[in-house]
Amino acid sequence: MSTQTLIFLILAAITAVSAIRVVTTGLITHAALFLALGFTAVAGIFLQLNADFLAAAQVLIYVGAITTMIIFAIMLSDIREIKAFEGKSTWERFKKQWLSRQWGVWPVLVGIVFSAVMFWLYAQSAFQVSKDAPPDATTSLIGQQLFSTYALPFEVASLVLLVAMIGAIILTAKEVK
Amino acid sequence: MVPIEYPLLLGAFLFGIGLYGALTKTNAIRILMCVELMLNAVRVVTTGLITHAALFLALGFTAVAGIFLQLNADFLA
Repeated sequence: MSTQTLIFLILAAITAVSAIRVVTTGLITHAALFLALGFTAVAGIFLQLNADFLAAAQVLIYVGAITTMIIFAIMLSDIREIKAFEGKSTWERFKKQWLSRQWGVWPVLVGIVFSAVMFWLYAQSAFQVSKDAPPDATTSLIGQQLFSTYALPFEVASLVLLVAMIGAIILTAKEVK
Repeated sequence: MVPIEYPLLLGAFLFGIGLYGALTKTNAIRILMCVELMLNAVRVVTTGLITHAALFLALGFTAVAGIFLQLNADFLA
């Protein structure tokens, strides 16, 4: 096993465990923080897969912006959280969170079954591999493609952002009579 | 180089967990987080495929369209 594969497996383990915790943890604030951890580990995976621009965007947008937005939403929504796991021993908490059907086993089971189905689908399909080597500097290529070939999707994305901004203003603005 | 199966499997696992969470949780913020997990999974899969197949497509959704075009036709039949 090469060093790269080992690093990938470690990052994948961090991602998988934090994804399970996002679903299973009792406190929603913890879920948001585990989501940030998973995003960071995925950024590491992107770096390993030669997608450096994507890794930077992942850290800036997902770890920086989306997680902050989710934490803001939690703070503003005034959730009375039920602290179900407080005041128990470590083993009891572990048992409750990982081994019981309701909390731990089901998401892992669903994830494994889903990945088995997807792996079967991948094995059934034949991918055509292009002969070109992967590009070294991806950022400049992304910029060129974004402003030439994919100019229209790029502008549509900005339109979606505009619609979201107008929606936020309409939802939060007080009516003036 | 990491074998191509690893990112694909990780993405499928993440997507399955996100799908489970989005379908079973009742809290809206938790559902939003699970949807983010699924989007994350799609990004992992597309990045893994692009790196290996040397198919350079600038945006995620165009990459998804490209993958479905690359799929063998008898798989759909």
